[in-house]
Parts: sequence; C-alpha cells; structure tokens
Amino acid sequence: MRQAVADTCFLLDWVRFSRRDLLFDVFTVVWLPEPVLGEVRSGDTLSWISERLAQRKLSLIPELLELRARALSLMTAVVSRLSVPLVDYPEAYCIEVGRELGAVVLTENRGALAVPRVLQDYSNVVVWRSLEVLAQAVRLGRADCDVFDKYRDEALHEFPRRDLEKVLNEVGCRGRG
Amino acid sequence: MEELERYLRDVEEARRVRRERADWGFIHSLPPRLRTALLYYVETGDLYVASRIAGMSMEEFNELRRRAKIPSV
Repeated sequence: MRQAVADTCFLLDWVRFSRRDLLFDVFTVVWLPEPVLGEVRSGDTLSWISERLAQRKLSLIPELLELRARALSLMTAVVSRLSVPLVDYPEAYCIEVGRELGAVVLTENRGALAVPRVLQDYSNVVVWRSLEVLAQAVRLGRADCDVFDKYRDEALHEFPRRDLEKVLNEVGCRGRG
Repeated sequence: MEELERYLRDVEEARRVRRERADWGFIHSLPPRLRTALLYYVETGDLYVASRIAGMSMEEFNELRRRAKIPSV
C-alpha cells in the first residue's frame, strides 16, 4: 500500500486538474494535515475533498504537538546546515508526517525537495512534486504523455525545464511536454 | 553547498518565469494589499505568506494568482 501526505501548495494546483483522481491510481491513501483543509474555501474543491474523504482515499491527520515540535527542529536544522531557511513550517510539518508514516511527501516547495539530500536523518524521506506523480501515472499506464501538457494548462503550473526534460526521457515521452 | 547552489539556481529560474508570464496590467490595477501580495508571490513563489499579506486563504489567493496569469513553478 503506497501512502502520501499532501501539502497545500501541491493540493491547490492538483485540484484544478481535470484528471485529479489520477492521484489515487498512484497512491492508495493520501493524508491531509488538518491545516491544509483549513486553506480550502471553494465549494468545488471542498466537495471533491469531502467525497474522497468519504471514500477513504483521502484521510485527515490532526496537527500533533510532537510533530509540530519536530517540524520546528527541522527548520532550524536546515538553517544550521545551509545558513538559509530553505523550508517553511507547513512543508516542514508535512515532511515530519511523511517521515512518521513512511509516506511520500507531496509538495511543490523547492526547499522541501532538498531536505532528504541535505540532512542525513531525512535521507529516507521521499519528496515528490506533481511532476513525479504524473510520471508515475504514465509508468503505471494510467496516463499518456500528453498528461504533462494538460496539467500545465489546467493548473497554470510550469515544471522546471531541466526536470521536465529528465522525466520525459525517463518515461519515454521525449520530445513532448 | 552544491545543494544550496542548485536550490538558488532553481529559485532564480522560477522567479524569471513568473515575472515573464505575469499580467502586469492586471496586477497594477489591483488595490494596494492585493498588488503587494502578488508582487511578493512573483518574487518568492511563497503561496502561504502571499495569501497572508492579501488577507485570504491560500486557495483564494491561488485563484487570484491564476487571474494574474502567474504560473506556479
């Protein structure tokens, strides 16, 4: 069973994608930290989330004091290591949830992506963006190569050029996107 | 340090893309609070802080970002 935890910046773009249920072709369960739900206001998004919560595809996770404290420690650890506050609290909290549950962390935050490479204690944490989720959907045969273009248009989301090229090569979609 | 250089290079590329694609006419037509929040977003890509500057939820600010044609990168 593959699990993930989604942060707000990932989720808000993802819900604009007409094929947003692809997420559940890639992950069995996606955890939503409670503060993420608090940032959603539109009826359409709330309706999709509540339906998927009812189907147990999404699951709400409360903001726990222990994980809050660890998230703050992570933020300071990154500053100590690199002298730059690479990770903000919401992403740090999601990383701690992912680490605790062994779940893939879904975020678009660049600092969060760097954490497993920078901090030895977090080297086992897996961090994905929408780009990696879409690539996995293509690998699993659940989506075609045009899914990257479709996501860019519908979510108004631009993938980093080098990363997109690399992923397109890996999944056999070279020359597209 | 290599990781930091990679991060800074990626952040700069993302900022360039946001600046190029933004609808500046729309942004400058907005009230000061919303305009300031979008300018902050263009420079940083930080949806959370930008939404707080605007006095909105993150989803509401994300819709404003789309209206301003600023890609999330």
